[in-house]
Amino acid sequence: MGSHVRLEPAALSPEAELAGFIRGLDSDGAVVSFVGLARPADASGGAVTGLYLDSYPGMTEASLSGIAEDALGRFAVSAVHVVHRCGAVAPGEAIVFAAAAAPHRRAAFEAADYLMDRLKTDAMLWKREDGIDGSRWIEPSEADRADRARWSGRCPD
Amino acid sequence: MKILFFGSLGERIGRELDVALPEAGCTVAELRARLAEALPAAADLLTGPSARACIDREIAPEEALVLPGQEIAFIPPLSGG
Repeated sequence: MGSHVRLEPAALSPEAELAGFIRGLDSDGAVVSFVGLARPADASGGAVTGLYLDSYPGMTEASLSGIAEDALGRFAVSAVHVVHRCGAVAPGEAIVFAAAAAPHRRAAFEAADYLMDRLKTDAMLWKREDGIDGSRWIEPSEADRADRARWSGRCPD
Repeated sequence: MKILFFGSLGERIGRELDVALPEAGCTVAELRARLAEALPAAADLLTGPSARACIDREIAPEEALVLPGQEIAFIPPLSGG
């Protein structure tokens, strides 16, 4: 119960995370989970050979905890669970797992949506996309900022 | 003192850089200017508005005072998820 976050340097199993999350619940009636996968192509369709997620030890974990705690405080959810990869991630692998549990489904849906919008713009992580033609560091898009702003009415930066 | 760099900044500059700081400290803006002078190849990234400074793991404004012994980092825009 409460919030649980983890920065994961090795492979992330969404199935195991979801099973563990559900096992730890008490009297909730709804669980919503989201899994983000590394895409095999970039925004312009070029092949992506891998992703690299840079992190700031200590601060990255603190940013994940802050986002999870904000979700707990904001919605009628009893538990949230966030696992984010760091390091090298191959196309098709899970990058992020976010789940929320609540007595009723609406709060769980909203909390999971909120978690992902915050993770895209506020998690202390830096994503590099490696392709055959070189590498580029990803920055939040206007769409990501707009998604984030839905919850606050203003952009974080 | 050691300054940490992450993401594209870390790739361009390296994870850590040792920089001499006045005993009385300096502001984030002054530290940025010193770093840009020492690292002309990364000056554009360091002085741009997208690189934010952290003091002891908190994002800090330009006028914040940086003192020897603190943990200082510069971070580019975040991109998780």
